[in-house]
Order: sequence, then structure tokens, then C-alpha cells
Amino acid sequence: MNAYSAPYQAMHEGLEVIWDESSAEAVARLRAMNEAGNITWDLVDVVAADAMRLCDEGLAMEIDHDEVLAPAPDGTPASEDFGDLIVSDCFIPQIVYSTTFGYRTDVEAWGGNTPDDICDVFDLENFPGQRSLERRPIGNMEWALMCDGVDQADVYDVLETEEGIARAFAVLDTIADSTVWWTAGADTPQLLADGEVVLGSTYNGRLFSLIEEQDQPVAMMWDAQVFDLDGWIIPEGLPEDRLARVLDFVRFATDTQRLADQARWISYGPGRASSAPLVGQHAELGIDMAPHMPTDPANAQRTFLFNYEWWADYRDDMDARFQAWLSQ
Amino acid sequence: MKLKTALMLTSGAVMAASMAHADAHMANSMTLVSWGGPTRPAR
Repeated sequence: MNAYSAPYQAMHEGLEVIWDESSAEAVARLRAMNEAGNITWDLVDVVAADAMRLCDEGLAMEIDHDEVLAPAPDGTPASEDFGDLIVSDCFIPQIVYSTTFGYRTDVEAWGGNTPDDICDVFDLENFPGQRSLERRPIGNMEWALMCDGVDQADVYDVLETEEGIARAFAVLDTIADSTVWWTAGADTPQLLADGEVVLGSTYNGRLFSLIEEQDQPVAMMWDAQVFDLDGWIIPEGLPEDRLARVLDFVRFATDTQRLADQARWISYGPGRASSAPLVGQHAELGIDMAPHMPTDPANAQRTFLFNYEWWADYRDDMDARFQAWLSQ
Repeated sequence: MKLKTALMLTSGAVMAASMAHADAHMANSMTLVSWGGPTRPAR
């Protein structure tokens, strides 16, 4: 909001901006609005998976990214600047966040070593102690297969087979007795702060807060972080004057400078490649934000972007298998 | 200097008029939907 709507309103006197904090219910609400024939939202902040669903259902507007969005300052078209993050014809990427690991920096049993490889999560011999993982298959299955020798590029092909699923669970079996399974993003930071776990996965913004704002003895492990995306969709069916306004706003709100500006408040990476060099300091803490960005080159040496289509096809089945495995 | 200032003022006035003209066919309010906080939800 600080980076997007306030400067836009300053340029457009008399414009009223109403914020509705309902993104978590975006899919259900837009379905209901569509049925009622009364679209009251102009622009909706959603995760990529929801954008894909809304697009498939015809509830979000398909756009020509190069026509609607500003090019980079050097003239690079928006479609190239956002690149692979445009995962749907309806999706306008804003930020990249990630699920990654934090670890305590005061674990004596590690003998001065610190985890820097995703497979250290599964290495109880060198990195003993309780760990925390999300109580869902997504992310955990990919990491487990990578640590069973599967090439990152082949992970989803392997996970499509019974043998591959068994391999992933076999790796997870090795740490199951030393794992706390979390359901809320706040769980791992709290467990780390309390010393209940020595390392654990969560969203990178939560770890930034734990380390930089709460000054806890915790550090980031970025290896094999799993990217997820957040961005805008424009509801289908807006009247002409509202569509004109929202197209004008979204072009401004997603330009190179604005996406760099949002990083002054939270450690989420800008969706445009051209924004990365412009990321500055935290607005209140005064620390450089680039080293805290999941997209910073030093942190992004090995990353995953979810295969959204794969998970859309297999999510229900994998969720059921994972819950069955947990209850064994 | 006076000419430059006059040109700048004219340029500014043209920009403002242009922006007002562009705004004329746009709605005066918009509803933006957000997560309501700095942190993103679970997937």
C-alpha cells in the first residue's frame, strides 16, 4: 500500500481507494459476484494458484502483458522482464516469496557447522535435533527426492510414479521421529525462538522478522528455497470507466520502481528482473534489503518454482497420501 | 531564464491538463483487494 496506492493517489487528486482485506476468500467471492452479476472489486491480490483457477473459470481477465504493463526502463518488454513468473494469461506478478529454512546459530551439538544444503535437513548425524516441516506434501516431497539423488529437473516426473512417491516418503521417514509438523506460518518462527526446534521451514518474510526485528539467534538457509508468487488479477466484466482506472493504476503499481519500493517494507522479492538493482534499505530498520531477498543472486543459487500445473493435477491425491503417511 | 520558466510552467500545465483529460473517462474510486497484512498466507 505504501509503495503503490499512496503515490498513485497523490498523482490523482480526488481518487478514492478502498481496501478490502478479502484475498483469502477471493475465489469464492468472485464466483458469487459473477453469479450475482455484480462485480464490486476492481483489482485483486492473489497467489498464483488462485490466479490460475480464476483464469480457468473465466472470472479473471486475460491480458496482453506487453500492452497493459510498462516496459523496463531500458525498454525490455514486460513479458521478458517478468519472464517465467507470468504463469497465467490473467496473472500480473508483484512479488516472489519463498518457503525456506531458518536454523538456530547456537546449537552446540553441530560442532560449529551450519546447514547450507537442503540435504542437511535430512542429516540427523551431523545436524541432530528437532526440525519443523509443513504438514503438507508440497515442498517436502520435492526436497526429499532431491536428497535421494533425483535431479531437480526430473523431480516432478519421478514424483508421478509410485516408485518416486515411495522414495520421497522413505527419505521423510528418516526424520519423521525428529520432526514437528506445522500448519501456520508463525509456527516455525515461534518454535525456533523457543528452542523447540533447531531448524525449520517457513516463509522467508517470517524469518526476516524473527532475525532482524526480534534479533533471535537464527540464520537463513536459502538452498533449494521454494518460490511462490503473489500478484494481481483484474476481475472479468468491469464497466469501461472502472477498467480504464484499474489499467492505469496497475501499469503504475507494477512498474520497475514501484516493485522495488515494496521491498522497503517486507523481504519479498520484486517480480521484475529490472527492479532488483533498485532495492534499497528497509524503511524503518535502515538495513540493506537486497541480502534478505529470496531473489537476490546470492540466495537464489538453487531455487524451485512450484510446478503449479502438476500440483493442480495431483494435489488431492498427494494430500491424501501424505496424511495417510503421517498417521502411520 | 524567464522563457525557460514560462516553458516549464506551460509544460506543467499541459501535463496536468493531459492527466485530467486522461482521468476524465476513468472511475473516481477503485476497490483493491489485499491480504490485509505484510505476510502471505499458506498455500
